[in-house]
Amino acid sequence: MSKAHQSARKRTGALLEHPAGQTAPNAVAPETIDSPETPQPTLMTLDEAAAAYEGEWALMRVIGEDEATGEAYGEILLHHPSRGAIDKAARRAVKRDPGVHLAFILGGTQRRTLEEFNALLDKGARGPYVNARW
Amino acid sequence: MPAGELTVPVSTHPSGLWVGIYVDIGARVRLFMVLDTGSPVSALSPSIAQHLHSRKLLQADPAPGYFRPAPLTAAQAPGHPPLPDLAVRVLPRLTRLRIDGLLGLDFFRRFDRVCFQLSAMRLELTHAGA
Repeated sequence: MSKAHQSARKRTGALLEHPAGQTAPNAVAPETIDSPETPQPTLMTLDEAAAAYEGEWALMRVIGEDEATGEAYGEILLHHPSRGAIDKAARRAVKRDPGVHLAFILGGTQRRTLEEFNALLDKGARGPYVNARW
Repeated sequence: MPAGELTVPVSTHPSGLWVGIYVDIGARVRLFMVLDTGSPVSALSPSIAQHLHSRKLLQADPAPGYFRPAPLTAAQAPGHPPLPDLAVRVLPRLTRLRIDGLLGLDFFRRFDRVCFQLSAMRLELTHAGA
């Protein structure tokens, strides 16, 4: 991970929204939080978010890009199994900041190695037929 | 990289059924769009279309049933190169498939050469005349 990315993770931001009883996988530990009223955001790259929230949707506020890799990183505003909840969170985010850059991420949708890709395609091919016709 | 050639990292849908690329629309919304050579036109899910429309990033096209998104760029490609302007349909079926958007043949036909390099998991798109 580049220095730019590491420093980005130390930034503070808006409150996170998580489903009841859940916390982000790499959320900042409570003892490192400056103040109880200012929780730290979860900052991660798009691929990290996609890997972390498999089976859920995630909404990311894109903050910047890693100078070394060019990979976008941002704050996860919400991760939730319901797409409707993500859409509501997106509307709230736009209301707060009309110019916000949002990424809609389906967990598990990420760059993979060729071996991982082949294994995933094999799994998909063995699963039930999906009618994706028009 | 030759002039007129785009190299875009490919991601996989978690179902293992589709591959696609992350696209930025109007530099404000990033979404995963499945590459679908079986679809004649590109499409968006209703929820994403509604979100884009509310932010003035999706306008009605003169052709009935079609919409024009704000400029598209390849979100995970170096320099975020622009992608061809498209007229898209809104396809409710995509919601059930957990797909926000798909890039159909109308997208691919804008290029002279389309190459999916499996070993590098990337899509190489070459404009005509490049």
